[in-house]
Amino acid sequence: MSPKFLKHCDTAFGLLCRLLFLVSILLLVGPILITLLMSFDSREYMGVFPPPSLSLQWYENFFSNRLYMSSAQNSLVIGVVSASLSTLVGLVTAFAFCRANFRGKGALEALIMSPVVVPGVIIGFSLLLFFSSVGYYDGKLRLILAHVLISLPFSLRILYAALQGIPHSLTEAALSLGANERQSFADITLPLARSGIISSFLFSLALSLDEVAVSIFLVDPKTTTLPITLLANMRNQFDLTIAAASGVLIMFTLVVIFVADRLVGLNRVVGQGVHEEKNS
Amino acid sequence: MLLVPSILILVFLYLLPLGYTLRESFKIHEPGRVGGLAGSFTAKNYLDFLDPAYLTVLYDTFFFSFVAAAVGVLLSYPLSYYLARGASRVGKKLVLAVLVAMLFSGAIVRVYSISLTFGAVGIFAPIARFFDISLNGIGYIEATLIIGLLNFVVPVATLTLLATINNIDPRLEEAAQSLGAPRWFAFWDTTFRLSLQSIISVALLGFAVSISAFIVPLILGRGIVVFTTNLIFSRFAEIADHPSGAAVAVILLVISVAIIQGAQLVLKRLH
Repeated sequence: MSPKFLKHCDTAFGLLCRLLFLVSILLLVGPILITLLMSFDSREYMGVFPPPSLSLQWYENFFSNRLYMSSAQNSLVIGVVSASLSTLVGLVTAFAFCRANFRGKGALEALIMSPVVVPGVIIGFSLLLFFSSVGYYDGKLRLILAHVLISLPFSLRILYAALQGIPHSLTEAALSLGANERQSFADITLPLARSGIISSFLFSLALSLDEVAVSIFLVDPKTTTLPITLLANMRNQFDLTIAAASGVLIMFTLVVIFVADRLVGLNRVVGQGVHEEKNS
Repeated sequence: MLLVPSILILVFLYLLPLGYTLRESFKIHEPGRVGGLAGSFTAKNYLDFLDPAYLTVLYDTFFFSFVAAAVGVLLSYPLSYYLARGASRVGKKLVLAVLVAMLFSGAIVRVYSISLTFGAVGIFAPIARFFDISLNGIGYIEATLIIGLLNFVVPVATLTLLATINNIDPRLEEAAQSLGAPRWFAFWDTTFRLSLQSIISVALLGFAVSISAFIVPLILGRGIVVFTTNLIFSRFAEIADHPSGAAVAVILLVISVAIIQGAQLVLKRLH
């Protein structure tokens, strides 16, 4: 092979990589940007992109719609309660896992992690069968419990890693200086696990606010969540109120990510490697 | 003592309900009745699944998930390679923020965005009209469905691959180049080979994400492409045939678990 040919190969390879890179970014971001633009459309019907002029009418529609507002309220309550519960249970479980080795620890951990790989529809359907056969019908609590189940694996993973990162010597020092176990947990472990606790809460909250596959089996006409209401209206409505709702949700997500970045750093949320530049 | 809460959750919200589903799947369904006949036993719900109509659903689920996993890896690899090696600090932070935002921004938002963008008022409508492609044709629906699945596969796959590439020493590639290898071969022989195992596991992850997708096929499949997950829901919501829905759920569960276990076996062999 001539050096010239190899050089062409290099150029072609570089171009191909750049093309694939561009395609994936466009694929991910393009639709969301278009939806954001459409949500400011001033026309009173769903017109062809791009909008000729901008207005906030769809946002007004969204915020003045009673069904959307009540389901958004439900979503927030369910999200905050389930994220708190899941973080609390995750913390307690991670603490027990860190403190002692016991028989069946690996098996128990695998079992807690396993709902991640079970399709949400199956969990939702099973919970529905279970709740109705034991005659339990409280809408909100059913949803909260279901969301705790699906966010627990993530909480446990985050908090287990956070607690394992705390050197044993610190708690041992506290204990040898006369603190009891509760004090050492409150004064040493909890503050050091702070970023893990925040990540776990935010992750569970985001998971709950967006959950559809499980919740769709458990909602009832009186208790429904925002994603389910949006989904129900997506098929039979020809207006852009859902685009405005998407805009609100995207803003919310960006705020959460900004907060997470400030508090814990985005790199801590995703995987880190040994050969990564340390300054980034 | 500390384990009591998580054990309670697992038993009452997970294991018992799955057990109820398994039991329900063997019950007899009477039309017009919600839930299976108590105390009955039949394998009919499973045998029904051998019907070509149901097998098509299973085939579609696997076929489109396979395509999404393969294309997803193809798109994610350059993205994570760029993040790990090529990007400036600002560029890296920006792409990372976009990926995490994608991961967190709701499935509903993303699916709606895609249906709007590729729908009748979206930017592709004039292009499709120009090339005489019907927006309601099967090919177009299948393509938007795959794009929808990719939106979920790519962020997860990229972030997973990023961790792998970050763990491969960049000096290997530089060494190969300084010994005379062209860039693409230097990459191929070092970084790519070392990340092969992770590529396979990411592909399987993408496959698992796709077969359990629910909203993507529900909205973007437009009733033309139906996934197994949608079948479970419609059994429950439309005809209240719980035993049949439960049987489909058991089949899907067994298949998903088998894929993941199989994948782990394959990875162990490779190691």
